[in-house]
Amino acid sequence: MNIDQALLTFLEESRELLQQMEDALLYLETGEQNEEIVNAMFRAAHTIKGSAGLFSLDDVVTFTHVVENILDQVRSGETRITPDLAAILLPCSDHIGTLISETIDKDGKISAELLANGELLLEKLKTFANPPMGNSSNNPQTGMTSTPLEAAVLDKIGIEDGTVSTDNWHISLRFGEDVLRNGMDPASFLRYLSKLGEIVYVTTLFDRMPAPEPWTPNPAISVSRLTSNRMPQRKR
Amino acid sequence: MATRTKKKQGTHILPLEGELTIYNAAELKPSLIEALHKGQEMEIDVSKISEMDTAGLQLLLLTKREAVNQNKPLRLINHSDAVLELINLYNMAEYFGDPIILKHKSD
Repeated sequence: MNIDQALLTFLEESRELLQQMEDALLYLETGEQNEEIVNAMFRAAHTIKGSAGLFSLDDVVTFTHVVENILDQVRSGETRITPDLAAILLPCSDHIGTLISETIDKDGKISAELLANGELLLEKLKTFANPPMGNSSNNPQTGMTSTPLEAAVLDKIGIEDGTVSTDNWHISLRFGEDVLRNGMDPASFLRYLSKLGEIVYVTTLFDRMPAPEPWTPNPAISVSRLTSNRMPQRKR
Repeated sequence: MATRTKKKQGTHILPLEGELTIYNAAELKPSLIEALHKGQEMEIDVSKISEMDTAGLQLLLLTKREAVNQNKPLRLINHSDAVLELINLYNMAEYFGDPIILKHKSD
């Protein structure tokens, strides 16, 4: 897979995600509250931002970062999703789509008009934040706030300043709390991935593992990050 | 699977045997946590663990995190292949911090 193909995949994936986001927003615009739908929107924004970061599509990252933050606040209950907020998030979702296609089409040079439009949307969006957002101190470059551990990992797998210096894939796996209860073992995913490519580095995040009292063996390992080099290459 | 605690110079040694999986992790949890609470230092002998899944690893991880929180040394000793495989798969050897004797795989 060369970089152009990877970009095309990203383009396709982000279109699907944006479509999902739009559907969700149209539903939420009716004033309904639905945690699952909000979570799905947050994940869509998060994925787009993360992937855009890998391709150094900085304008996409910066804009989507704010959208993601708002959705995160909605998710955690700090901000309520109202028809008004949904109505402003709709053009934001469109804007992300336009940003992505323009950035890719014009090799990173997007029009001043589009940028100005983005600024306008962000201004409106920020009024919904609670507390109102100024400039975020998060690092939108890599699409995530880097803790020292993450920085070390990013360094190890060859990501510097948000740009990728290797052609490794960064794969983030987040398992549902019921995964073990449902008879599935995340270890199988890792073993399977190691058949598709070489796993360069794995970080297991277990901060959501509950304390022993009360404790059940289910919700613990919910997040694993791993890097495997290249993607499925079918063996003939 | 039977567990029993042996004391060695103030160190609780808890040998685990057989399977350490989703099927018995919840059942074994109290004995591990209890053993940790009782002693000042603990070793879990995992040499006779024949099968371990993510739930099993999670139980060891939970016990380790509790030990760290309580400032008590906890070591896994005599890692069996099943235990090593999973710890390596999740890249958790560093977190457990135990010396692991590397074996060459004979294939």
